[in-house]
Amino acid sequence: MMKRIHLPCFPARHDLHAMVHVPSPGSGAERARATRSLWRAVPWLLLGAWLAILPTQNASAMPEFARRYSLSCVACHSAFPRLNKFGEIFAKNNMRLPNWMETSAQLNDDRLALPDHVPLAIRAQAYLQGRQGQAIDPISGARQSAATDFQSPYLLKLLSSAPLSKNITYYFYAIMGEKGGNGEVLVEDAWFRHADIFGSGIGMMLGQFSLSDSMFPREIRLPFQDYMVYRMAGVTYDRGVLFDRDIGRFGIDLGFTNGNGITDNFKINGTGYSRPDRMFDSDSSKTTFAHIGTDIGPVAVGVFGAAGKQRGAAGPAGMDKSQRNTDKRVVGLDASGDIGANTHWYTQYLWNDWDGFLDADPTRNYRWSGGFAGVDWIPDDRWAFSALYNRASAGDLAHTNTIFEGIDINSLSLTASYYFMRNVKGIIELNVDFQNRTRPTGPYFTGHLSSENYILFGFDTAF
Amino acid sequence: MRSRRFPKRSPVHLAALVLVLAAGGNAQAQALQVGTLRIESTPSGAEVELIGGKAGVTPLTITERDIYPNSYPDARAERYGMITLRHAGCEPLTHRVTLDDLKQDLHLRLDCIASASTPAASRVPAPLAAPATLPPAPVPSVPQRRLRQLEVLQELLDEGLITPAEEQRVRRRILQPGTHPGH
Repeated sequence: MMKRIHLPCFPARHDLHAMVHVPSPGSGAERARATRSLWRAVPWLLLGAWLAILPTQNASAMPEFARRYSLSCVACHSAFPRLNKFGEIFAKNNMRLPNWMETSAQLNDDRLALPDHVPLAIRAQAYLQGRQGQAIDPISGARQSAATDFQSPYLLKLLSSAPLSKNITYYFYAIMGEKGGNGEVLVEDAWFRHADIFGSGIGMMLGQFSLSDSMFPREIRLPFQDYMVYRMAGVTYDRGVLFDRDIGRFGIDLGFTNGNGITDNFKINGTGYSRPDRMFDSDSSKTTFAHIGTDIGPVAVGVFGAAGKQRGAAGPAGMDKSQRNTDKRVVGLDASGDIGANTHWYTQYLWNDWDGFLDADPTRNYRWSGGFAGVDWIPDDRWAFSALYNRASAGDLAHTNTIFEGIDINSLSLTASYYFMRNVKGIIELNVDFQNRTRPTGPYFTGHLSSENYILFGFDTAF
Repeated sequence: MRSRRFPKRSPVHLAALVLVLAAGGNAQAQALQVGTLRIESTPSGAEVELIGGKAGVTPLTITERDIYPNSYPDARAERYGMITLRHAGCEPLTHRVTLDDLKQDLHLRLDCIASASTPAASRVPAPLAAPATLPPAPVPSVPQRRLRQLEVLQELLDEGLITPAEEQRVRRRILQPGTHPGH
């Protein structure tokens, strides 16, 4: 959760406004293998050396908001993409500064605030990853070992945002090609937000957003590794509406989303053929979620809850979607704070109830839980170091011989980010998998059958 | 049988080596001054106040982080991104730092009473180019400045850029006897 922000008054236009087992050297064969490993490591060493000796350059970043308001990236980021206090205020303030109107095209029309340029920004990531994990087919058990991958591009995002009126701001981004998925464009965040519905002081966001953004927004994390429990719990992107308001010392979010998926509109009688609005919610139920946050001394704490429906799991190893809607509930606690001026910590835990989730035993309720904890240390303008620990237990989903045994995670990611520029960084990340490997518990090849240690090098930039 | 083409020890060893090599580059990075801003003023010797408090006197070089700290007390939020210069005999001057300022040195001219500014200016001469390039600044009277500020305030209110409550608060501050308008 972002630390609760008390919006300052902007008085005038001029005010700104995973553990790796290391065998000990023994037989000659092992020594020979170690020598071969060293030779294989030469390219990696060269890459590391290159990263270390790259000439440093003077910093001057120019992403969209920086261009619009003639501000340095430093104004909003402690280390890109992590926001500092002012950056959080900016985001909460409908992603605008009080002088936003001055940044629009001057058309002598009080009712038209066209951005004076197409407000686009790009974020691009490219990585080179060495991984110990194996891809194992849950049905056949066939194993595919690929030790390295050029994950380039890993991600190419097109982002856009601008204030459109006194209270309305839009924001969207589309991912063009992620993890080699060329030929696809994936829209994640895409919403309008009105800052003050009917003068009530309530903000309303309509569109597609991540439920977990009420706690810790994933896009602004420093590590490459994700906040895994959010993905496992299914509290990421969905279409819906989100209301927010500050009441005294509390910040309250209340939202509703489609919850269990959208589908083609072919079932509607009449113009079910060639409809323009092709996609629609698959049922009348909606997921309701809320988050209440406040500051207790120097610690920002929050409570999250969500209740709704999700499709159950069916078929071999639970890999297919069931025809049944099943109840799910999520409760979360989050906390964050600062240690001195350069260190920020955060932690999250989620408890999940999935009633009758598996078709194999629809009378059973499944409970599982997990969370993460991390710390970012930003000693200067060139370096940022992060540690992220992900932990989750499959709970009642253990030994079900479904892919949901894979909820188990116990890994530590250590990340070093070097900022060539404010908006261009090179990262090195090591993920150590502490989870013990397991054997299949039934006919299917599920569970933690392979360790997932990895090391990753790459670039991350926004402009 | 497990296939293991990627040697188990490699990730840890490589990461350690790479980090050691990268750390060696850190010394080079720290030798650079990243994102600095040199502030000069006419007259020089003006006290520079930032969001974190008094930073020194002009000519002064500060970093971007001095202007944009990652955290600050809520009570000083209005000073985020701002520089205020104070000099005896001169009107305080508050300036919002822009990207253009960061690209070049910032030279600010204070509005001073002639008798007070002359000694200060003679002690530390301003850069040679400054007097020729900067137009002489008119020195309006205090009531004139207050009038202009009230006009701007009304414009902001009319444009909906500030709320009536904010307008009233700032108006009171401008009209409060004994305060220096302009900051």
